[in-house]
Amino acid sequence: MSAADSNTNYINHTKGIMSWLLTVDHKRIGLMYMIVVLSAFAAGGFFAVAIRLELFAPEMQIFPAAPTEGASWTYNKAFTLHGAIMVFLFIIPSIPAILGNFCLPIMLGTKDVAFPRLNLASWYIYMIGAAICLYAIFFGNSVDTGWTFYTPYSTSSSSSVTMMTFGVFVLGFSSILTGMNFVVTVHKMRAPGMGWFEMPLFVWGIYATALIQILATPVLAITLLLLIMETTFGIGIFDPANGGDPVLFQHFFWFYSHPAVYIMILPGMAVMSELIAVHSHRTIFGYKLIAYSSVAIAFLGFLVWGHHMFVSGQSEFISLLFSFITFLIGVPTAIKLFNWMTTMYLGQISWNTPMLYALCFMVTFTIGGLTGVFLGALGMDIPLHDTYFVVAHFHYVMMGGTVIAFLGGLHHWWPKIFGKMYSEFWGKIGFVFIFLGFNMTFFSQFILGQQGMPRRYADYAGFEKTQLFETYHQFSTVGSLILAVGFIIILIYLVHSLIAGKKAPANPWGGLSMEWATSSPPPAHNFLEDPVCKHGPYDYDKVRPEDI
Amino acid sequence: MEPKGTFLLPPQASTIAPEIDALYMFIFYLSVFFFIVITAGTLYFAVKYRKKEGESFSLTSGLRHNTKLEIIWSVIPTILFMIIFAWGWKVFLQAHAIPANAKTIHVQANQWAWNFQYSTLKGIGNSNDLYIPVNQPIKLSMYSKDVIHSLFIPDFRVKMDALPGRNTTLWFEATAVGEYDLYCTEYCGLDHSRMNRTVHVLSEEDYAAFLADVVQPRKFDEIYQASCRSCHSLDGSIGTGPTFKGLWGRTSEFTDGTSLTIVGDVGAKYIRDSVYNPNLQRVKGFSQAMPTHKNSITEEEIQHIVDGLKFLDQPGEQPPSEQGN
Repeated sequence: MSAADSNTNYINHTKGIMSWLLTVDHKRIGLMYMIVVLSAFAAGGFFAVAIRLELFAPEMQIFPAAPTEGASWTYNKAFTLHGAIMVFLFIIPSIPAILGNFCLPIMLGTKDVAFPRLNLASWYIYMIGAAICLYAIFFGNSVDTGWTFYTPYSTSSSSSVTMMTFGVFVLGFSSILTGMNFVVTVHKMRAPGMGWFEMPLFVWGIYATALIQILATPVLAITLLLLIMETTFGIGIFDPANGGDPVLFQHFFWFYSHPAVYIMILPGMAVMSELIAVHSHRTIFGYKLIAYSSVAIAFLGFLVWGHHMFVSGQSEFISLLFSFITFLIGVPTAIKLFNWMTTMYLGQISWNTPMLYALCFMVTFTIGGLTGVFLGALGMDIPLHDTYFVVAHFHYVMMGGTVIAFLGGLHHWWPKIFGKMYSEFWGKIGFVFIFLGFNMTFFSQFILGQQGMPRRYADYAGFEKTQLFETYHQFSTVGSLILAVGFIIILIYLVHSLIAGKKAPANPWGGLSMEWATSSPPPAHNFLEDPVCKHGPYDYDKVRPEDI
Repeated sequence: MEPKGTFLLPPQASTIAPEIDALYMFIFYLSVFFFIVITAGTLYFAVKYRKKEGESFSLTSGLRHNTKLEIIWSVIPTILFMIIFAWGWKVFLQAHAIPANAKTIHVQANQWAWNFQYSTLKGIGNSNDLYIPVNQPIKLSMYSKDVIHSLFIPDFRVKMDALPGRNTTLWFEATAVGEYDLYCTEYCGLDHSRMNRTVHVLSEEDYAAFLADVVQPRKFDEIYQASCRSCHSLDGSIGTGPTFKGLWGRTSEFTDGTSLTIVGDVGAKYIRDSVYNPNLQRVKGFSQAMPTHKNSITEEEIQHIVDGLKFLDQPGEQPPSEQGN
């Protein structure tokens, strides 16, 4: 099972655009996801910078106060698109569809996912969903409802809500099918000798995520379908004017979207376990506890949706239950953090770019988790709900957690995916920009929120608190620009590595899981000989990297 | 004296604010502690066990478990979480248990304005800013005319959604005279960020003056609906009391044997007496059922009643045959 030295690999074994568009190779599909999902990230980031520039000072800066004939863009559309693109087009598919697609079968020691054609179909469904969303944005009237599409505003808004939600509806199927594919792959396609507890924790995390994708996404589909029925046919489901219940929509929506939060963060945690173990060169501490807590989080994630609705008028008793279960979910999350920390104890830690992102995750995700404790406490949530505190909290979880883990994972598997090494120097420079920019942008928003700044405000002129808010908004905007520069640096050196990077060895980090046993980039069928699992993925106390 | 905020938190201007802030500070200090434990531990290990430049990989520790440690770091967070949960629940109940002596202000939200309605004995008044007296529990009874809105006063630490087709309530007791921001915090469309107003917390005297200024005497129809409708008809039918139809100009006979034609100043005085002291003269054939309205109808409103009754009796408004019944 030694690294095969061969000049043909999955990238160059066939040529031409059709060999990509009709491929059923999970690695190529992963790359195709990478291109479109990262493009979506760039678009979402563009809107993020526009939002920050608008909020740099009170009064309107770059957006008109109201849409006019020539300029139909408003701040409200910008923040809606930032949220909708980042959630539905970027962060949900990011780690599972890109890194999961590429790595999961190789880590299991198999040739491909269980249903390769379905995998390609998922990509096309994603593309169709994305195209419908783009159509709504550019040829329709865009959307200004917030990514949450709350009724009755969404049913009364003149923007292209129906088209956009239909796009999201279609995207959901891509998510469901990918999840199904991964579940079957994990159950049926593991290499000989690989039991459930010999699987890398990345696989466990993606597996738990896939379960949520399959179980929760249909609820989103149902909700959006009901919304479309209401806006198109006037059937009263959510609109009180037609006998509906507007809060019902929130229940439906969060019944999906809270589990979706775990669709977003569990893959981040999954990547973290790999980064910490491989770059600390140390067997993972509490393997089973980390694996089980992924599944526990996935399960409990279904029972906490009402904590988004503590001030919506729902019954106090219901709020009590949701708050209680919310705190229960904090326990496995805390356990994971302690496990990762202890994994570093007595390790042999490489301070390379992927590890820096892992260390960053320990800092930023901890802040994200701890600030969630404020929001989960019933009485405490009252003043913080729908303020910038919430914005800061979920950016610390989603970006400080998932995106940071994604960047770490991207740098971790980049040599494997493309067979090229990026510049370690520029990797570290990029990291410094991301770390500083991210914390500047979002830490200031905790203070903003505590002081009372509501989210989704285009303007904050004329308040008693305007001056106070302005200081923190300016700090945040400067941070966001530093963050943007960080992403541009990363883009440049990663693209540069493809053209002029050094050739990557099969196992640049000394990892023990199966993807490091094959060449970089891997051959078309992943392994030249069928691999056999002879040791655990983190047996750094028993196996030397050169022996895998 | 307006309270001052801190670096972390805005001013405390209601009775619930210190309660919520105490919980905030508890979670805050715990968070700082755990943040330091995790970050410092991570960085310490990262530095201490850093792989040297050029050093090759060696076999490392096989430490996979430590039951004692794992129990400690599962149980301690669980206990702390339960404390925070219980504390949060306690404060939440305080924020939701409306005191019996709370004065109600009705709130109507719509895109993109607030309307606060004050009912007093003198009538009803409206304002777009919220005016409240200091040291007095206030209950806001809210609904929305269109989409969902949410009323948020940061310095009071209170927030509640206003929903279409459903009433929600919220209460607070302001503790310091001053002006405070009030925001809409449920996204409601184009001018969401302009749906903000000022809360004016006034001394008791200033609040009385505000009410006197803003509250308008009710017109006949409102008074009739609120106080007269159940006994006095407008269409001539006999109720618990005589009908108002054709009252102005009618000659009434009383149980004490006197009679009076209700016109001019004498008629106006009779109506005032009937409202404030109804059993002084009772119309023949009706029981002694009417209570006094001294506390619910003002002198100014009496004039509106008189005008209203005259209007009811204007020629052309009613068939001639009924005149002078």
